[in-house]
Amino acid sequence: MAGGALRLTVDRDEAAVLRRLVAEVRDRLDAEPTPGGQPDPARARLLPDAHRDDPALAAAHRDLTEAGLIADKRADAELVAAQLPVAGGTVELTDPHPWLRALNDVRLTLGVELAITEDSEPPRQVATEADLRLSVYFWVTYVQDSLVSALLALPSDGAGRTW
Amino acid sequence: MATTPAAPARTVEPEVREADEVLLPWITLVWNDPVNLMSYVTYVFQQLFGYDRETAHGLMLDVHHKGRAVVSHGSREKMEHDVARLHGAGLWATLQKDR
Repeated sequence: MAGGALRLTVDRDEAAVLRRLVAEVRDRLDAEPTPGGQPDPARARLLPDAHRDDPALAAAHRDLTEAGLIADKRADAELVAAQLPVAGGTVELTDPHPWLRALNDVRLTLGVELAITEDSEPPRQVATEADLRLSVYFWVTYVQDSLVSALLALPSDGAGRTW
Repeated sequence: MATTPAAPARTVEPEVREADEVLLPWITLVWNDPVNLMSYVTYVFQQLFGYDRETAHGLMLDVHHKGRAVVSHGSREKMEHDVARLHGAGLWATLQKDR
């Protein structure tokens, strides 16, 4: 970190993995459930009910807010994809919040897909596609935690930034 | 938790239903989930609500250990706004009447 700016360094492969993951989030958001079709539980986690015990109020809130929520999440995913250096390199995160949110959306969708619990651990060996996805989940976790830790270490706690 | 303000003295009694709506605030709850990082949740509470580090950390611990925490209270419209912003951050939030 220099001059209060956060820098993220990724190699070519890491950049490609992140770009694919944020594209997966965007594709899930775009895949509106068809009437009678199976809802995508990962998409549902990105767009949760605002009322726990009142489906009518939850539906009304969704009608008012969901389109905006999807647009905001899409914008975060696209900003990350656009800022990632294709050949690898260092990105200066002048606004780190879209990155935090996009990485979190990636982790939420992988968390549903992999049935993550608080006891989940990284795979001991990577033998299957699921092992690979699990190791990617923990790598994205590490990246997000590193960014948050850097922000919390700033004297201002990041105060003054707009969320 | 929300506190109920004392009713102002009135010469004309308001309708009871209307008074209940005013006196019974709404709350925003954040629920525990296995994915959101403790550091991230603390940071989001600081950013969205302006809480200092200690307050935000305490609320995060309540979510983690008790399964949920009340992070804001006020009018229904304000709580709808707070829930929408928390959903934008990926936190699992709901609103309800405080009872």
